[in-house]
Amino acid sequence: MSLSNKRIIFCLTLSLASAGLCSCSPGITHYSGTAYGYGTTWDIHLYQGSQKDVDEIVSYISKTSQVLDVEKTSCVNGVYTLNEKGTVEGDPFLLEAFSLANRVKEIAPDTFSYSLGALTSAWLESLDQGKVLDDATKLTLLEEAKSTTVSIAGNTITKAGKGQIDLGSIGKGLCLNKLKKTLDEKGIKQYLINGGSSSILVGETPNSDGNLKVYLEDAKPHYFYAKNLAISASSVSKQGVKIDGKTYSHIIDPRNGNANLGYDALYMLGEDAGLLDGLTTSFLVLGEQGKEKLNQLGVKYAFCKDGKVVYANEEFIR
Amino acid sequence: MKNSSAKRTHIIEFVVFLLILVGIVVYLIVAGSGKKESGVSAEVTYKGQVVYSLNLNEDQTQKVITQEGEVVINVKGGKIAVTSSPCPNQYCVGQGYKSKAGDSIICAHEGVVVLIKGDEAVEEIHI
Repeated sequence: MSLSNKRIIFCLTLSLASAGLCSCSPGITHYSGTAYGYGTTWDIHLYQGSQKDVDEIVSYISKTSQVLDVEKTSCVNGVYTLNEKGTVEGDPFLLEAFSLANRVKEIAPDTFSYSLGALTSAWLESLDQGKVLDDATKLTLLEEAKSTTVSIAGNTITKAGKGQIDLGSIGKGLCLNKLKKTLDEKGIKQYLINGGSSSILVGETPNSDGNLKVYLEDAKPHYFYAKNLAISASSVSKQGVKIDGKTYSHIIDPRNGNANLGYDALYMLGEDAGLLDGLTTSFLVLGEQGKEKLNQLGVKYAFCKDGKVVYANEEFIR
Repeated sequence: MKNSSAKRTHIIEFVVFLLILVGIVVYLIVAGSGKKESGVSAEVTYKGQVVYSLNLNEDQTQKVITQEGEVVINVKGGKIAVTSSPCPNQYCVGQGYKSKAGDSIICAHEGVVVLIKGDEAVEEIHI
């Protein structure tokens, strides 16, 4: 074989190898799943690990959601039993939820409450019928909530008072905290777990800089980049009902029992998804008075109203 | 004669190299366009139960029967929207058509969630 022929064969081999390399170029690893829990649909994406890891996450969301569910579930040592019987041998997740709730309550004593379950239900029922909750019902249920206390001795949780416990405002965040711990232990760094667009855990994305672009629905077209952090959003515009020009929602002001707030949404970024979850709800109620405290806590935040960001402590939006 | 053969070989080599180059460029263009963020399907859940898994490449209209009426979901040109809902604030309808993987349309009042799925990594979300 002549040298020239060898060169031709070399070129053809190189050509075929290139074509093979191109066609076999591996895509990103992507495992995904959908879970239902805490009253919403969760979107789970792992770019490392395995589908089994996704399935475990789906299962964990469902299981812990039942612990904090105010409706009857298969869980017998959760919130439902506590509300029904007044005492329960608490599931470890429930005990952690109360611990977190008490942390939030220390930070926002006036605007965070976990005993507003009955009042929240009454408001939602009334809004479903297009009505504002009447003052008599509102004040009665508010008083019941305010006079309700919870004590914990070992694993035994006891409720005193007629108020109904509802830990929904911190449930998703606490769940994300636990999931993050598991992902860290498994060495999974590339992920996105989106709990109904209001509680989100962002690891890295597989793109070059690892950032996820996050648009704010309540302040279009603003966005920010997220990587290795938790995002929490409390928005009344998504779930609110307009009556006589005022927007009413599922978020209740524990000071007066009202369901209409001054802002449409509050977004927060930080490391502790559970804490952020509780803070977004309580500081959306508190409004701009809470800005200084949020700055002290080192939380990045943005208050939105009428489609615009009205207060933000960091230039994280564009 | 020898020079002519060598010249022919060089031309063939040049053509082969050119083909390799063109092939790589074409691949990069195709691969680049393949990094689309568009979703390929959408999962529709009602109170947590999956009721539809819709192919976004097939135009269609589906209804979810809720306690208060019908939530109408329309797929058109690779995009999906809630086009009608009995909910009072109509936030879900106001979201319009969406197509990006990871995007969702949530009708909290009716308990209906549309979640767009894709093969690619999620690079942006709307919260």
